[in-house]
Amino acid sequence: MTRVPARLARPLADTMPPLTGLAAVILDRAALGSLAPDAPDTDLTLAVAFYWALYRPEIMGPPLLFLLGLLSDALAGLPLGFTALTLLALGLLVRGGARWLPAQPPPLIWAAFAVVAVSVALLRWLLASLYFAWPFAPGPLLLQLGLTLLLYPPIAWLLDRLRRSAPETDHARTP
Amino acid sequence: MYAEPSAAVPDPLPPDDDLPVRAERRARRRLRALWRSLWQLALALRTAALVAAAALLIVVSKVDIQLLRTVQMMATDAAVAVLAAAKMPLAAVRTAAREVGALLAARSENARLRAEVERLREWRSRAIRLEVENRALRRLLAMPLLETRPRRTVARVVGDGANPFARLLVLDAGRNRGLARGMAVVNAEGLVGRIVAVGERSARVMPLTDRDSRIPVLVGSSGDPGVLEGDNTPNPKLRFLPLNPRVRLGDEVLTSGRGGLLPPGLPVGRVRAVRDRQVVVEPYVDWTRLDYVAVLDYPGVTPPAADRSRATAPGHPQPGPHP
Repeated sequence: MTRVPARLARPLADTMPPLTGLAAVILDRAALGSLAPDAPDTDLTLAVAFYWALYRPEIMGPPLLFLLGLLSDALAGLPLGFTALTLLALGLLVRGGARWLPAQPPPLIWAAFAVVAVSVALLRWLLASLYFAWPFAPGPLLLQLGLTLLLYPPIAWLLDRLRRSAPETDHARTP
Repeated sequence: MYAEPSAAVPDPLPPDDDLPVRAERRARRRLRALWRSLWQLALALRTAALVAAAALLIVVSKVDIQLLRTVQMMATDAAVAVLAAAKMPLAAVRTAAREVGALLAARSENARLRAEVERLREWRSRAIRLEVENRALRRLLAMPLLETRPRRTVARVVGDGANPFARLLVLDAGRNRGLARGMAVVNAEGLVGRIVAVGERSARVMPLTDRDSRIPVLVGSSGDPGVLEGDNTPNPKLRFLPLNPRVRLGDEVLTSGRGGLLPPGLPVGRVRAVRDRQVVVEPYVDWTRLDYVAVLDYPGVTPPAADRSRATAPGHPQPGPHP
């Protein structure tokens, strides 16, 4: 991927996390695939939020995670604050590893994502079951989790390419 | 040039002149540490405030405040164009694939359609005969004729909830095209669901498979009434059937029109299985090909004034809430 001029690099690097986060929310909510009630779907927002919370925590911080969550809830027709809370939990979980995890090999980062995704899915299931007072079958959630885990490496690769095309000059991080 | 290290040991104590400078440095360091701690505290407080705000919003959403619903629909209104644009490339690929498939299957499709036309011709003549008979009988009984052709508004499905807890569809039409809450949404195959929220340019549809969906229906030729209840699986279940129901496999399920919200006679699905005292229905709608739908503006049936006054008169039981 071609590099952008140095004077544009920083603003571009800073806008990438919100823009890709927004795109992930839109793609998650657009009727792209099957609309069947049991059709498997992915959680792109979770993968994108995890990536940026790890590599650009100062941008993908709690306020942006909160806003992306609110937008996602509004578009999905879920109670407002539902996804916002789970994304904030993701931010808190990732914060501990944001110093040392980016320097680790990709399989380890993937494993860390799996741990975070499982924790977030559990939180979502608990919240939904309490809110709707309905014992949701864990099957669809596990399927979504599995698909999201499978999808993380290509998403991370794509975001890596994007990030390297406009590296943030002040505190460039190397994975 | 390499300089020989001096043999003289430097005095560890600085001269008295440097003491104020060191004190100032120390004070600055302390100030910086204090500032850092305060900054960390502020960040932690901010995160805590956002978590509290999200939790509060969830609790407030449970109360079902109109303002929150309005905010949700405003966000959907704003995003509907983007959702439609995101769908465009995939829709083009799907259309192309469907065209190629249709071309390849043209011969067999033609034969199937001919057979279908023959069958429908027979049905049409029967329907005309029955309609004439129905009109004549209604006239005899002095019953008002039912206008069963609601106004249709075509809209496109541009979004879905896509989460394991709720899968509400988003349409690219709202109040601007006359849509309102409660309207039935159908496609060529049958009932899709009904509208549960309307914005200016978008509307949200609860599919009949949603766990909150309850559709009053009639089953098969027996006409057994029941309620089709969604449970987030592809096959909703029939409930509140009469005692000793005469439901058989393959029976057609149609809307009954009870409650006056949905028009009667809309095809819903077919009885697929009867197991564990549950009647499982397979909807006619092919969810994988759901693209354009029609929203029916059904005026509903209001009870005649005379009946209403009788129902509220003393001695007459009040009708219970419709399921």
